[in-house]
Amino acid sequence: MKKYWVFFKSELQRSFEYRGMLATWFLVELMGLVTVIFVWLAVYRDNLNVGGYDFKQMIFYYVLVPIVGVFTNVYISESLPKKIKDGVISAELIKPYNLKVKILVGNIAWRMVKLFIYMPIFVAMLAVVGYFFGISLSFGNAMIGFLVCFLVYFLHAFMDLSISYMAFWMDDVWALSHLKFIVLFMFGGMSFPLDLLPENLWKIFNFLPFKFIYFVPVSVLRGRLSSFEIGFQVVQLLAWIGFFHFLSEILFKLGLKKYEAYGN
Amino acid sequence: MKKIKRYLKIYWKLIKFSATLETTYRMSFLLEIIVEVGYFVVTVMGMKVLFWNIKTMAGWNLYEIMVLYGLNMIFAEIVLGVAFIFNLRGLPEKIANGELDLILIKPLNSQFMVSLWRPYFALIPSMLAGVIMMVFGFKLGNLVFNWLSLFPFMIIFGCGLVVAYSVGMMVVTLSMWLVQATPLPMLAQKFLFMAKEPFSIYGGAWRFVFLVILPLAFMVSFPTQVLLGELVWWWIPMGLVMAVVFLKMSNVFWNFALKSYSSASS
Repeated sequence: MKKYWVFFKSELQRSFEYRGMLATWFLVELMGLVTVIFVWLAVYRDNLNVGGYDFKQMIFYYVLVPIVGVFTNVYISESLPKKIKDGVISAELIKPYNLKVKILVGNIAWRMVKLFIYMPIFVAMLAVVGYFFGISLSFGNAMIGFLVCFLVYFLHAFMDLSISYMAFWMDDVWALSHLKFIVLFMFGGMSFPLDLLPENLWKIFNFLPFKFIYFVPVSVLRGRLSSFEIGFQVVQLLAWIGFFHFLSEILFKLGLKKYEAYGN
Repeated sequence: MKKIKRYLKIYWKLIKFSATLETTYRMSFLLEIIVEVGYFVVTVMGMKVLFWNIKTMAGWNLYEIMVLYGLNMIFAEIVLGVAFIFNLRGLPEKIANGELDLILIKPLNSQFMVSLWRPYFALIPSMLAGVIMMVFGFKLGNLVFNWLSLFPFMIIFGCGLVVAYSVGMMVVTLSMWLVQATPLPMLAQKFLFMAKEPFSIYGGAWRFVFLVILPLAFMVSFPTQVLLGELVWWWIPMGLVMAVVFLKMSNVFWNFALKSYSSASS
C-alpha cells in the first residue's frame, strides 16, 4: 500500500506542474458550455418548456455536466495504448506493483489537482446560476452525487482500460478511444438530457452503462431521483463496474500472452 | 502568381503522398471512417432529439437546420482535414521538442509547412454524409434550391474557410509562448465549432462579436442562408475583406511569434 501512496504523491506533484495546461483544458470545456447556453437561449425564446425542462433547469443541467465530468472523465486510453505499442510497459511489468492499481492511483491524484484548480470556477458558476435562477445544489444531493461520481470513476476507468488493452492486438486504438467519446457524448447525457428522448429509445439508453458517466450523477445532484431510484441505479452501477473490471482483467491476461516487447 | 503556382504544385504532390500513406494502413483507415460515421450519427441524433421537443429554433425549422448541419459537416471536415489533424494539432509538440527547427531551415514558407503539410483523407466520408444530409433537408422540407445561388455561396463559403483557417492558426501560434500548449489546437477547434449554430441564435452585442471580431457568421450560417435563398448583398464584400484581413493577421502573427522562438532541441 505504501508504494501506491508514493505513486499518488509523485503524480500529485507532477500534475501541479501542468496547471496552465489544465486551465486551458477548462477553457476548452467552457467554450462548449457557452455554445450550449446560446442554443438553449434561442430555443427557449420560442418555447417555454422542452421535454419537461424549463430554461432554468436546462441551464442547471449543463452547468453540472462539466462538474461531473471532472470526476468521471478518464483518459487512460489516450496514453496507455502507446506505451503498449512502443514496448514501454515492459519496464513496468517487471516491477513489483500492480500496473492497474498504479494507473488508477495516478489518475485519482491528477483528478484531485484538476478539482483544486477548477473548484473556484465551479463555485462561481453555481453561484451565478443560484443568483440569476434561484437554483442551488443542496448539501445532501451534493454528497450523494459525488459519492456516485466516485463509483462512476471506476466504471469509466475499467471501461477505458479494456479499450487500452486492445492495443495488444491492434496497431492503433485511437479510433476506439474516439468511438468511446462519441458514444459517451450521445448515450452518456453529455450532449442532451437523456429523458428528452422518446420513451422507447430511452428504454434502450437506460439499459446501457453509458448513462452513468453524466446523466445519472447529474440527475442525483439535481435531486430528480428518489432514494429508491438512487439505490437501484447504484446496484446497476456496481454490476457494470464488476463486468468491466472482469473484462479488463481478462483482456490484460490474454494480451500479455500475445505481447512481444520490441522496445529496449 | 508564379509563387502560388509553385505552392499549388507542391500541395498536389503532398496530397498524393498523404493518400498513399493513409491507404497503406487499411485497418486504421477503416476504423477512422467508422469514427467519422459515428460523428455523423451523433449529429443527426442530437438534432432529432431537439426537434422531437420543439418546432423551430431561432426561426429555423428542422429541414433548414438539416441543411445547416450538413454544410457544417463539410466545413468542419475541410478545416480539420486540411489544417488540423496532421498539422496544427502537432504544432505545440513540434515547438516543445525543437522539431520546428527542421521546418524553418527549409526553403518554403514556414506557415504553409506547419499548417498545410499533410492533409487527412478519412474525413471524406463525413463530407459525403454532409452532402446527403443537405440533400435530404432540401427534399424533405420542400425547400427551393436555386442553382444561381451556388456562385455567391462558393465565395462566402470560401471566405469562411479562410477565416476559420486563420483563426485556428492564430490560436495555435500562441503555443510559441506556452510551455504546455497541447490543448490549444482543441481550443481553436472549439471556437470554430461554435460556427455550426445559426447566427440568429446570438442576440445583442454578441451579434457584433460573431460578425466582426470572430466572424463565425461567414463560416456556415451565412453560406447556408445563401443556399436557402436569403442572400444579403453586403455579405460578399464583407466576407472577402474578412478573409484577406484574417489571413494577413495570421501571417503577421506567425512571423512575430517566430521571433520569440528559441529552439528546444539539443
